[in-house]
Amino acid sequence: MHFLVDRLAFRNALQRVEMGIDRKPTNPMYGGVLIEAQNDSLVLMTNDLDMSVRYRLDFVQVTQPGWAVIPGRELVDIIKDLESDTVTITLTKNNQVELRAGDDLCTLVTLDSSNSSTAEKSESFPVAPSCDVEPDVVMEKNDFLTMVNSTRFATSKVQNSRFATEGILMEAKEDRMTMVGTDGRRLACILRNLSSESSGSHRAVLLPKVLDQIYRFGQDEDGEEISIWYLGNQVGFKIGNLESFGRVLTGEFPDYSQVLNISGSSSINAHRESFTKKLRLASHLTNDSAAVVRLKLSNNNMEICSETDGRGRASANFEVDYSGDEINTAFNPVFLMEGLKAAHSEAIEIQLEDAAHPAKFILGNDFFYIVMPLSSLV
Amino acid sequence: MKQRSVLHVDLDAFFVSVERVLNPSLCGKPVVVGGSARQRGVVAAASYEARKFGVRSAMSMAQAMRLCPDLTRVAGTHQMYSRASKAVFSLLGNYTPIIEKVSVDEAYLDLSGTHHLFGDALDAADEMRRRVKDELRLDLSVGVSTNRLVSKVASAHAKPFGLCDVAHGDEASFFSPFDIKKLPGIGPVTADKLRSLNIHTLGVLAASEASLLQHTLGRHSASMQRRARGECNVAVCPPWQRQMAKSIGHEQTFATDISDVSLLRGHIQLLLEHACSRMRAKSLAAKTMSLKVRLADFSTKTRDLSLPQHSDNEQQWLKQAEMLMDKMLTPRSAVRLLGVRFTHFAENHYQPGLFDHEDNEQRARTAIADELREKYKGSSFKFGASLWV
Repeated sequence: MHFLVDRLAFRNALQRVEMGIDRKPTNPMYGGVLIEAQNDSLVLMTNDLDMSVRYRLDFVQVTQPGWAVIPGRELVDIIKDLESDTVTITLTKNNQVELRAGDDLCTLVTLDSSNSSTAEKSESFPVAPSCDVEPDVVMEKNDFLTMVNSTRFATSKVQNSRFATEGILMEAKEDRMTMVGTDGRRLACILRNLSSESSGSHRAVLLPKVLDQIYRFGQDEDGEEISIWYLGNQVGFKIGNLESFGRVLTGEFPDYSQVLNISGSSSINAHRESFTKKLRLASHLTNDSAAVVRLKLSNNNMEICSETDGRGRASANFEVDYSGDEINTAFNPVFLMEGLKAAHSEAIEIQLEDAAHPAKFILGNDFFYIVMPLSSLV
Repeated sequence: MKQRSVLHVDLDAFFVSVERVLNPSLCGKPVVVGGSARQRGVVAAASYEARKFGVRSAMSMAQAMRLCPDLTRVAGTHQMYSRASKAVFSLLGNYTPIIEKVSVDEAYLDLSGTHHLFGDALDAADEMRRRVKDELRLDLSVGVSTNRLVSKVASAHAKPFGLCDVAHGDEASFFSPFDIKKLPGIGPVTADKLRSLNIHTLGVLAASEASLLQHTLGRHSASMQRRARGECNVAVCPPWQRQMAKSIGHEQTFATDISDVSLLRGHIQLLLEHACSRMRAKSLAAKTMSLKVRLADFSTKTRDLSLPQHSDNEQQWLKQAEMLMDKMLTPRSAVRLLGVRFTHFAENHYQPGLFDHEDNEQRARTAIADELREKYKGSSFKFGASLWV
């Protein structure tokens, strides 16, 4: 294997597959990058068992085809710190790769390699499935990326023994895609149309890092659409030259429809920015032991109060569109701020029942955020 | 600035005194309150007659029995001590609302500004002692001064059933002859360091060269010297300014070492019930729990676990605690002590889940269990795993 590649293009390609490099690999292969060089293009692959990423980089001068599994972290760091515009990578006879850039030369011992045809693949590297069959779902790339950004913040940061709340649910049915993220205390749900009817009803829960990777790099990829394959224990995505596969979480996802269908008896229309500013003001007087803001709704006014013993109290008022009985409820301010930050429109609607039932925030077109209020311990 | 009048009140051999009120035949005898020697009990309180034999609080009961073979041991009734303590502090509350309760038998009182109501602080203190003796038949020792540090040392100096008044300006001379260990905050290690510098009394400590002390004791040396002169500007903290508890815990030493995992799980459940019940009484919910395991060879392990949200419910902690214990023990581990401790509290509010339909029912069940425990006391009410404990 011998090729000459533009250093920045190679660095960008490595960034796209970097999330699939296992930082503490149980098998050294999971910490490596498989590079296949042939037909003036490179295919880079990583796989840490939670996700695998494949990226094709074109316009590479390949003078000798071949493949090699190179230690991932070292390769990424070296390519980042080289100064020359181009890098020449050569697989030597003693299973090492030489990275030559200007006067600099680095040598890395490969985990597996071959200078012969790429048809003879590494046996120990876990290669991702190929995306050469018709996708199950095709939808607008921007819609998909919006869905990811609207749900990932609500997922649980720790594993839950009862539900797979550390993942994001992707459900495709007929011509609609539903994406749901929840940590059991709040839930974000967004619906969007598919470009064409789905091949059937599909449902999978994926780790947020899989969708994060697509969100991070999908925008820069060519093409307006994303193709999705539901492959049983994996889900595959393809945008332009980027292919990504995520492991499907096996745990049960909570029945989101039971909370999505709630609609409070009181409806409040508010301005997102005003709400955010007042909330931020009040949250200065909250802390970890008293992460509480009280929302008091009266005629066309919302009062947000907070208090911390020994530090002080805050009360912020702003105008809302509401006429009804006075409502008093309490929320974790972080939950409210994260939801408002993800809102798609400046005009938001809040549906409230009382202090004991979940509040539903309508934060955009078919974008719902449901938050459970805090209960009193006293 | 007007000088404050701060009292430190301390009930003498409190547990023993309450037992003597309940059973006057114990008067005049060497008596201790605590668990039996066979069950690895320790001395919780010792009468002054027992102290003459060298018996001290926190000493193992076996050792206490060896020191004083005629010792009378009483198992102790903590509900009774709690009732007696409430009665004492209710009486003291007639003199000032600024009472900082330090323990069941000890408190600081700020009597500043009550001169027109009760006269001199010394007279008020004397009246308190007399009333506690007459109305509750308990001995109260009181230290009176301008700050809590001097009052604390004065009440210890006045024991038993004494009153010690240190006038403003006399603090340093009052402290001067005392051994350095009398000063709160000087433990055995610091005392040894000071003695190595030939400092044996608080007077010598107060007059010592600051640079010499700093070299040996570090950055705390200056404050220690101020304290050795009887200077302290920490105010008595009234109940309405009290800080939230930093931790709530419960632990138990077993009469015999336990290897049976199901029995240990039962004990964990009981410990969690006790600690969670105390959390609920204070309207707190914790995020982190520490599990402490002491094995037969006295090796001690402590591990922490956190829940995604704050909780005051033992059922939510139980499974995680059991898993943690399983990780900490090897198959044949013989456990001598188990303890749980909750930290990182949320106050007054908790976050219910969107999908926890059982949560409300569970909270209702827990509230009923708390009521039953309060009504019938002790272990008259138990949940599943703790039945065999």
